[in-house]
Amino acid sequence: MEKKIRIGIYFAWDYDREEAKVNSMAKDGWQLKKGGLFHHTYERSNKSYRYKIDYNSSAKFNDESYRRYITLFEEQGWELINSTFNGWYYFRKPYIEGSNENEYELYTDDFSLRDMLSRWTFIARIIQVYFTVFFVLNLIHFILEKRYFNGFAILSSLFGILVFQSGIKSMKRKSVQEGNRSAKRINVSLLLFIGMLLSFILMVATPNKYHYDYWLKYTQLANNDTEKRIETFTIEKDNSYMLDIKNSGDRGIIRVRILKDDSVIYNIGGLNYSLTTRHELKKGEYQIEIEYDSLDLLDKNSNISVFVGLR
Amino acid sequence: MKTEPLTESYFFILLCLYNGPNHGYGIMQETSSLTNDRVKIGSGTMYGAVNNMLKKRWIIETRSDKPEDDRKRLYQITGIGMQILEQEKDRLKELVECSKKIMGWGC
Repeated sequence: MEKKIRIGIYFAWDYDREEAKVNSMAKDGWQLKKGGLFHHTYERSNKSYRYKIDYNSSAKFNDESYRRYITLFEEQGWELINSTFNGWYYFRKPYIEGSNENEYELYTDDFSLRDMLSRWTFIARIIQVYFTVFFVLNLIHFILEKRYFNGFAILSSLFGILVFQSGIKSMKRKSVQEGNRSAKRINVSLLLFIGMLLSFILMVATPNKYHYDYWLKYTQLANNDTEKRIETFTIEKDNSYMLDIKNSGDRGIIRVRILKDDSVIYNIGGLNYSLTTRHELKKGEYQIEIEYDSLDLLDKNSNISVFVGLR
Repeated sequence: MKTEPLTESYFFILLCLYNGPNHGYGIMQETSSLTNDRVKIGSGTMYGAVNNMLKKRWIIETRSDKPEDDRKRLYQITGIGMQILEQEKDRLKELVECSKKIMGWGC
């Protein structure tokens, strides 16, 4: 049998648009075999059906309630095609030419339609709460650590909250009499959704990058026996800073000293280290002294590098 | 016991159970024929109403005695359900009485 797979994302609040799409495919002779979150499978058939999508969040978890649900639909001629894990059910009913349109309505008053939609809204609100907790935790982390990861997580969760907010809004606009009025809202949700995805991708792609107020990366071919370099930087306001020092070269001793007005604030030396410490730094000029001693160790043509960052 | 007005679907479901247990399809058909097809209870509306009324104990679910109807789920009105139906009938009666007072007997 001829098959066709259509890929496309329909948001929960666009379920009526999705329904319209499935029904227009049916008119062209393509009958829905399986509906899903990201794709629909159609099969060529001459039979004529009407399709409806329904939401039921609780039936999955209760056998009695599930059977009652399916029986009440079957009694009125609806055949279950399939359901998704998150509670969306695809039904169909043979279409008889010239029959009354209200034979094919699942919801015949606004009260029951709203009741169904409010069950979706309830789940959406829970998801929003999760996003909000995620938002707050990452905000705290971002302020303390200045990590890009947390920055993008804040954005991503903010977008997430807004996507569901616009979804809830368009769910609330639906009514039996007026049908689908969400056409204009789609772009807003889609844009927000893309924003959420982008910031999520950036969040995953930058797990350990920080925003540094000052940073210095020193790379040197280890061909000299000793080397010393001094850099200066300025702190513009008194604050508490995180100091990251990383040394990636175990072919000699690297000493890093941070000085202010010739007094040593921080001093470290060794072969291989990666440290983060917190310091209260006053406003003013600072020097970083990097000293390198190969100690005649091994390969002289490899690189040593030091990273110093303040955030 | 103070209650909100029932929706038409709720009212007709309870009404169609007044004379004894009935299944979903029977309720739907009886409602249509009582109202000359004006009120139709879709399956989504039916499920929501039945579920809520089961929770509120206005109705209960039973099985048919006849073996050929084994799969059918029958619904039966409870004492509370009867009370709710009576209250709604009185409320509707009052509405009609009020309209008669204002608009005359012709309405």
